[in-house]
Amino acid sequence: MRVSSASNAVRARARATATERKVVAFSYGVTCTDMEGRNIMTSGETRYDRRLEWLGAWSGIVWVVASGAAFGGSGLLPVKSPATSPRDLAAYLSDHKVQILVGMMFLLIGSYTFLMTWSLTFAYQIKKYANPSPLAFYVLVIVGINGGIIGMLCGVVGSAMAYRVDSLPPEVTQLLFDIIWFLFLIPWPPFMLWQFIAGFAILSSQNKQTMFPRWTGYFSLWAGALEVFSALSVYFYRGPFSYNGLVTFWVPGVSFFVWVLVFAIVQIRGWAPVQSEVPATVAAEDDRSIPDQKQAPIAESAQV
Amino acid sequence: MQTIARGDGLSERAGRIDRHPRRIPGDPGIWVFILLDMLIFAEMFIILAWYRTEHHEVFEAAQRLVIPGYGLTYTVLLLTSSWCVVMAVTAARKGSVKLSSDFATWGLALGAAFVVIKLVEYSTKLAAGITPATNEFFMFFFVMTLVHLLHASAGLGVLTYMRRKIRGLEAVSPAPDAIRMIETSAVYWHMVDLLWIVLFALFYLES
Repeated sequence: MRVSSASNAVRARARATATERKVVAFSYGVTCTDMEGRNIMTSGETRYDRRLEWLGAWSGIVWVVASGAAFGGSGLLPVKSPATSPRDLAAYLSDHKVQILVGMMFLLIGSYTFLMTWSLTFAYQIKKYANPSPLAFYVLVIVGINGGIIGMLCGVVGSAMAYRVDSLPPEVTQLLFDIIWFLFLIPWPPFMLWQFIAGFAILSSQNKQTMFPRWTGYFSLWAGALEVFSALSVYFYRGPFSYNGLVTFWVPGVSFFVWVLVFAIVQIRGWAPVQSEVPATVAAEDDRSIPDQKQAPIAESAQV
Repeated sequence: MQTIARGDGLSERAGRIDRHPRRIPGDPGIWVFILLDMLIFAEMFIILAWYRTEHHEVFEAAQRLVIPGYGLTYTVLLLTSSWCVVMAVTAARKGSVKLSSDFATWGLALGAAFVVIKLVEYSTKLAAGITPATNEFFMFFFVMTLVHLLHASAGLGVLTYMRRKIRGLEAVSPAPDAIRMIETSAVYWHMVDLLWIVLFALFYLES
């Protein structure tokens, strides 16, 4: 097996700075660089990392499909009006008990796992391609985990509601039903933060990167602005601003799904061109493996 | 343009296009935001129209409690503000930094006046015991004008950013990138203005 001298040098450097690398990898979490900011991932590790990026972007699609199917197939959509009498609501939920339990299982698969994997990939790619700010990266990671946990809570409360629907007083069932939708809607502020931070990270990007076009930044700001409608849901019992309303439920709910879907598609479509811009060997030799440094004098850095 | 060979019809046409390029104002991406945002407002306008036909009497009676003078004041303030922003962009393109910055300040001040007077109007309504829970008309009145007010408040931030960009311009040859972001801010502010005109017609003019 022929191993190029360049990759031998990279491996030697990787071994020599193993301790430094551990410290830096721990403190930044994202870039595998040494103290001088050089990339010390071997080409094999880089390939693995890129494959994970690709899978992570696809997990956004999986989340959209699994969670959409979970809500759609559970019989919970369209959401019953908050003005429905507790007896009618409990009777309806009792009729759809098994359907709801299966739906909530899909919600847990989708939200608790794949929203997390997607959001981490998203945060990582924003840092890698668009904006290297570590603080923006940390915020994106935390709000992504928060999103997964909220999805999990919806699934757990929904399961508990369906599990005891035949023995609980209808008023308690209605309370649990309210909690599902309030969990879904009213913890909107960190979601807005998520979409705003991502949007501004893309718009303030100085990289001539191709992964996140500028329109995706404005798109993210738009999706974030719509989150605020959710706040209205606690003040109304009927009409377009109640928790089953066209404005409070469908606008922020659908726009969040569309936000993830659009970004996942952008990530998947953008992935292949970005890889061809940065061949594996160059990525290992280059100071930072970001695509816009393609034009950097590679020959010069090779001499160094 | 000079590199295009002369005497060839196609090249001449290409040359003309080059002289007057058809360009989208501002950052093209802002139009994604503008169109999607107006789509959501359009959805609310349709729902409002639906409710208006369903509860015609309630809407008629409630609309008499709205003071049209406020609506007219807001319209004048926002239209004048938008005009100032247009003048600021024109001056910025010519590199008149001082003039442009002054117009931006006026645009910002008139926008701020809109926000302040809107809050005064809300407080007089609430003091008179009129809340979003009063009836369907006031539910829409408060929610939709509040959503617009949030857009306008964000717009004050956008105009402040715009003024900072203008002040950073070089007088002789303004940087195209800075001009594009100044235009982007102006486009956003015009959207706030445009949405207001629809809200004015829906809530302040008697049907």
